[in-house]
Amino acid sequence: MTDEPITQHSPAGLSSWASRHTREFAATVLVPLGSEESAAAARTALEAVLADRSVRPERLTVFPPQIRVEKPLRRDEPPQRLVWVRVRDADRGVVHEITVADDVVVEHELNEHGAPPFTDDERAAGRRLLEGDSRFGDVLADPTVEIDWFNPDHGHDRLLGARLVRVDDTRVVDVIDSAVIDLDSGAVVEGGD
Amino acid sequence: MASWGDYHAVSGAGWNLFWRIPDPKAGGLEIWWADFMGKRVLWKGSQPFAIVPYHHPLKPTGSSSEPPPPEFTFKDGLGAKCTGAPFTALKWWAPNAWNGSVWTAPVDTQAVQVDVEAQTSFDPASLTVTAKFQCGWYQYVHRWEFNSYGEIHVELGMGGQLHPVNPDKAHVHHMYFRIDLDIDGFSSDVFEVFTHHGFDDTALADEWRVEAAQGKHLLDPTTARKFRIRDLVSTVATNVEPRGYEIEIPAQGGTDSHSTADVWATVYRGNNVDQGETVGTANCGDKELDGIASGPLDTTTGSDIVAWVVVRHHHEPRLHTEEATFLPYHYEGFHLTPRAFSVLRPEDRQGDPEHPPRDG
Repeated sequence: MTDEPITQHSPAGLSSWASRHTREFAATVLVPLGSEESAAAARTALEAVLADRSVRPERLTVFPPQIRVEKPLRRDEPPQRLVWVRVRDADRGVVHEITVADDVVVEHELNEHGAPPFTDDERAAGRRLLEGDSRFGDVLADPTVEIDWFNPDHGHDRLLGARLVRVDDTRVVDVIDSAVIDLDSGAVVEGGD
Repeated sequence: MASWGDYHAVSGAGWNLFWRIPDPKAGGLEIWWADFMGKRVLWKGSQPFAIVPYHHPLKPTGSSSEPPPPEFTFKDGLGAKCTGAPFTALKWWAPNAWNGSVWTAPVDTQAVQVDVEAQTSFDPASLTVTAKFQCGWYQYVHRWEFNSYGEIHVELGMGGQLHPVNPDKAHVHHMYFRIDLDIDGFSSDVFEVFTHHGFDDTALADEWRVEAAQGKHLLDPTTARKFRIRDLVSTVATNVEPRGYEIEIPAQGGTDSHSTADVWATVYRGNNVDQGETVGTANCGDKELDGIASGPLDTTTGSDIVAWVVVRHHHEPRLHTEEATFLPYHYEGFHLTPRAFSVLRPEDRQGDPEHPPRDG
């Protein structure tokens, strides 16, 4: 055993304990997704979805692209570094799962049960709906009130749950109310009774 | 570097690996490409979701005029459903509480703590990767400990506070781990089940049975049941059995109508599928895992095995005393133990039998 220091936060850091596979491929495969690469992949994916002219662009949500590291067909070949982009069509309630390599779509699948994590934009939209609702607006104007988000649905609809909680000295001390927001219809559908 | 989703390399205790949190509000911590002493052990490990049925009926968590919730089982984490919540990454030094948003980590390096401990007279050296996540009123700690014996101890800690409206309600945490072991590389592994039949070695006292099909399995403490993923090719030396890793799971609770098995043996189908997101869609249970654990396994040339492992804990609240204001962290986990993977050399020989070492 050696006393090598840890190399935390290095994207391709290696020690003498790394396998041959890691030594060969980590530096080129496990590298961060750049902002330009991410934006390009999102554009490519969006174009692929909009190739169907019946799809309305204003009803699409493009989720943040992610690195997709895929095993090769044979063990000595290099793993693939791809970019995975999910696009949800609110009209059809489906998620397009698109894999991009070098600005080319290499895989495009429809997932009827896909439930991508809610994005900051979706939570902001949900908060705006609650702030504009007379049942919740005054409560949310209180700076000690925060929203604790949850997922009320079984996965098919884009329903976002909001638990209005009072925070005292950085910890939640009370549950005030709860609501469910349908992001597809842009409406508060439960709560505030 | 991005705020989330990058691969961070760490090493120590004979291990080299990468950690990653792909989304700050989803399925928690992932471990990638864990190598021990120059050999690949784990392609990827994660604890993406939990299924938590409560005793019922439950009172609503919002206004008093709400009807009782129709569902009393939460699916938390990746693809949260059934009034469950995602795992929201906290700053690793966040208090054990139902925290406000000020404790939410803005970047992954503030969410993960990495510790390297030297060996002592009692324990091997270790490399531990830990992160904590808020999940409604609960807190979950994801902890992966890799030690210089080649063992991996995977733990989930439960903290935070009791249900805000139903603090008296007992519940069960079914915690699901996705384990993609690649023993010295992938595609040539078999899945085996161990049975201790008795003590007569002239008969079949202990047996490892190679499974020919994907499927789900139950623990059986009466036969010391455990599981193994074994390579068919890689060996330490000729005349030594091929390398493998055993999966040893403590039996702390039973299955129920929402969580129906202890282990599923399935095969790798891609890094963007079968990660647990869709589990719970049908009935807030794990029915979807049965769907992916179907089909044959290649017992001749091996398969690329992916195992789902469940660790359980029945939580009977101590609401008037120890758990009145917060939940003392309670850890449950399982063990990945090497068999014929490497020849370990003693590192703890002390030079002076008359005097203990400084750490003693």
